[in-house]
Amino acid sequence: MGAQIRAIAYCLPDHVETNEDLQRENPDWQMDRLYEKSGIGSRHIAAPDETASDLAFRAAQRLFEKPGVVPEEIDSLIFCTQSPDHYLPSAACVLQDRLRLGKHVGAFDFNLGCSGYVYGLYMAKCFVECGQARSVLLLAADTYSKYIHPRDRTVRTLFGDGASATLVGRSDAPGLGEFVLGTDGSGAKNLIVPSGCLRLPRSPATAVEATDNSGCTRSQDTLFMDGAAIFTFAITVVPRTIQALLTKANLKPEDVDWYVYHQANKFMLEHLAQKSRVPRDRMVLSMEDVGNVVSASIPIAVQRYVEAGKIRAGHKILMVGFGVGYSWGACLATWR
Amino acid sequence: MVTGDFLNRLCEALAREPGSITLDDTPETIPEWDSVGHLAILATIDSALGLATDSEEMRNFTSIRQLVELLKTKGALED
Repeated sequence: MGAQIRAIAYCLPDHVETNEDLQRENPDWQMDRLYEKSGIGSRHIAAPDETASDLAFRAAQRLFEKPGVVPEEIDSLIFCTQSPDHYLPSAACVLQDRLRLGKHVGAFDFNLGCSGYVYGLYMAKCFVECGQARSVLLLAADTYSKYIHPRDRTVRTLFGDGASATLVGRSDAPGLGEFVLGTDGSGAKNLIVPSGCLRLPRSPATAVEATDNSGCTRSQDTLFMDGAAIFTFAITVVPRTIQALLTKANLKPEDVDWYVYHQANKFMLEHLAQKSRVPRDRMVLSMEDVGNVVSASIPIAVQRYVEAGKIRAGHKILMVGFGVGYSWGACLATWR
Repeated sequence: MVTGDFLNRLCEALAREPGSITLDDTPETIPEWDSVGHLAILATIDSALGLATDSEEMRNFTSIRQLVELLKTKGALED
C-alpha cells in the first residue's frame, strides 16, 4: 500500500497589494524593473487580525467540500508554519477543534519555510504507509507580511500570504514516490527574523531601525534576507537535489511531466531550470498574482495547474522546496 | 573565457549595450546594478564560468575590476 495526494485546496487573504500600490507608496522603488525579474505583480496580504491558522482553517474547509474527501478518515493533522498564533499551544491542536476533527487525531505543528511542504508530504507518506493514519491533513500557511518592514524592498516585493490544505491518503495506485531531503544550518543567518523568541526577545533595542546601502530599512524585529546568499544557495543545492532524486528513482529528466519548484521568483526559477536542463514548458510558474507564499507556494501552484487542466491524471510531477534554514527537499508524485 | 567576452555577458545580463561595461564600473555608474542586477551578475558567473559564488568574496564584490581580478585568481578569466 502506498500514499497519494488525494486533493488540494488553498486560501488567500482578501486584500491584494499590487506593484502599483507599492510604487505609489515608495516612489524610489523601480517596480517595473523588479516585476521584469521577479515575475510578481501582486500579492495577497493578511488583515491585521487574520493569522496563518485562520487561513489554514479556511483552506481546510474548502478541502472538505471537495468530492471524495472524508474528514472522518483523517487520523493526523500536521501544520507547517513559521507564523504561529502562540508559542504554545500548537496551532494544529486548536485547528483540530475548529475543524471538528475527532479526538483520535494526532496533531502537531512543524516549523519550516519554503521546504516545508515537501517535508509535510514526507511525514504524511510515512504515517499512511506505516498504517498510523488512513488519511493525513497537511496544512501549510504563512503570513510573512507581518514580519516585513514596509520599507524593505528586498522582501516586501516578493512575499505574499496564503495557505494550503492537502489530503494524503492510502492508495494502491502510484502516488507519492521517492524523497531527497537536506539541511545546512550554516545558512540560518541569511534568512531570519532575529528577535521575537527566547534567543533574543523583542525589546526597544531590537526595534531600532537601520537603513542599508541599498535604501532598505529593517530592524531585528523584521525579516532579513541576504538575497545574494539565498540565490547562491538555491542555484547550488537545487540542481544537485533534483539530480539525486532522479537518480534515486531511476528516471531521466524527460520522464517528468511537471517540475514544480518552490515559487520564489521567476528569475531564480528560470536560472534553475536552465541549469537542470528542464524544458521551459514543463516548469510550473504560478507566482505572478500571489508572490512567494513560502510553504504554501508548491501546493497552490500544483492546484492551479490542475484546475487549468495542465496537470492531469497519470502525470509525474517533481516538487522541490528550498529556503530558510537552509533546508531543502524534493519528491516525486504521480497525480491521481 | 577572455575578459572582454565576460564583460559582454554582463552587459547582456544587465540589459545594456555590448561594450558598455568596463573595469572602472561600479554600482554607482551602472544604474541596472541594483540588488536584482547583482543577482543577474551572480547568475552569469554561474552559467558562463561554472563557478560557485558560495563565499563572501564571491558575492560581495563592489566593482567590476574587483570581480574580474577575483575571477582571474581562480583561473576562470584571462586577459
